[in-house]
Amino acid sequence: MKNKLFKILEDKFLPVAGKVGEQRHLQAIRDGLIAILPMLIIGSVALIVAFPPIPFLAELVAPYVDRILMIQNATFGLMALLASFTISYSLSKKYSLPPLESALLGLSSFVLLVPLTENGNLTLSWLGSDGLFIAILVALYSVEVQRFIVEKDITIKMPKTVPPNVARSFSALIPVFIVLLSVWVFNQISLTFASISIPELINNTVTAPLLLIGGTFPGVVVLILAISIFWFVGIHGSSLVIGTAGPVLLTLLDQNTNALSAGAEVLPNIVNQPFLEIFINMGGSGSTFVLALLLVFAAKSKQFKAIGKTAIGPGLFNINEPIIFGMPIVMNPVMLIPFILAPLSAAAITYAAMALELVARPYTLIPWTTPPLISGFLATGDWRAIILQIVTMTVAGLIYYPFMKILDEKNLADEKAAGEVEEEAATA
Amino acid sequence: MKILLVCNAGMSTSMLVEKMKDEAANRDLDYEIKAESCNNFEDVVEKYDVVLLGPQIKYKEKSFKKIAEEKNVALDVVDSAAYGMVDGAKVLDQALSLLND
Repeated sequence: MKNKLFKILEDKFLPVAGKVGEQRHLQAIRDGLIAILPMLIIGSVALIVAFPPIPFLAELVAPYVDRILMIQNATFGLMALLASFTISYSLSKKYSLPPLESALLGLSSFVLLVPLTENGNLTLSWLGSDGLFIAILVALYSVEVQRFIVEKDITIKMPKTVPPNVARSFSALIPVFIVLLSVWVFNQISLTFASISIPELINNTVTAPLLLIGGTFPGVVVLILAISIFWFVGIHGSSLVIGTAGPVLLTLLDQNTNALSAGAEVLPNIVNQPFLEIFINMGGSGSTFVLALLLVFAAKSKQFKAIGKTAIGPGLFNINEPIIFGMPIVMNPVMLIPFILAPLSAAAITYAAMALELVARPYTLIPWTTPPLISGFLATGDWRAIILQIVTMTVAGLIYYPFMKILDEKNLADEKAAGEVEEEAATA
Repeated sequence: MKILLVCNAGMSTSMLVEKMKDEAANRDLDYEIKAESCNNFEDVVEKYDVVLLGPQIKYKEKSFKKIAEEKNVALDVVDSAAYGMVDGAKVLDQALSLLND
């Protein structure tokens, strides 16, 4: 029965999961968002400086808030503009097209779609999270059109007397012309017949429902289940799942930063990127930091103690491959149960605490490698987040303990048996 | 000899790289060992003799192997138990045996 389930997972699920991981467009989106991460993190730092969690400091910087937020505007606030460039770049590279040309064209196509103000100015909100989905779609579209043009070998034929480089300089115009013209035409059609621009149309029909689902507790449950099950079959779950859900999670986060800048007391979204990375993935996917502690201090078998010692250092920075492959959690049905239940319990407690406004909601993007306890404080600017993280870790520990103990007893028995065999061999 | 370790962000493999360097130094071997994120794989693969993938990106083995073979670079996935225990000696042996095949 057990072997049969494993076989189904290995034969059926693993290839599908692998295909999702290898899917070019999803990969380009993930890589493109990773590329803008440093900008987003520094933008978050500016936000912390503008709204420091300590009242005395907050008063001190209050007159300069607008000036400090300019840094945030030029980083976090340009999320979509930057992503239109980086996602086009990554996808173009995967097709071996000239990436810089594609990136510029992606960016230009995006700006072409953005609705202007009545005076004909660009609004920052469309260049930020409001425009993220349209930036992604237009980046993928523009690169696909370029690929089509190159594959079908659509070029301008010049007489033989024209120098080849001159002919090439004309050919470079073709993708730019076709992509920009088609984007413009689509938008004009939408404006003329539906009286709505394509970005607004997409935000109403695609983005809004995704944000609605992604921002709920059931949405988080689905993401956590996916992360744990991916890891169980040996695939890097958090990079795949959080990366793919990145556009939704980052948009939800940016809604919080905007609300904060506008002076809101309670931020609109509980669920966002730091909710998962900081409050659920403490010690790595599966909230395993506490498991590393248990392996060091509560395990009796030599094997588990050794893994615990290896795991605790990286665990402090939310890296848990030693536990996942060493304990292991991969293909280990006993550990699968707590590996799903522990992060779910952390999500439930964190969600409840933030919904009841006992703890502030996360609004800054900090590196996912920030150690637990410090991370909760930095992500929310609320010292009570530290207590929250201690509570969720304790509960996760209670969930992990009995399962860890079952395997530990078994290891101990094995080690003892092996020791007796050695002793016999020594006396014989 | 140059060995490249690749994982998702190049973070967990970087721990293994340190252990492998220690082991190589113990054996008086002058090897260059580096960790990279899988995003950079294509750009750097040809500079190495052997590439080892972290088991968490085993699903990339097929597509990466194709690229590696074109550039005449040997490629394999790190044994997951050795990866979990960050066993530098074992993984170094794996890299060596891969090169000798």
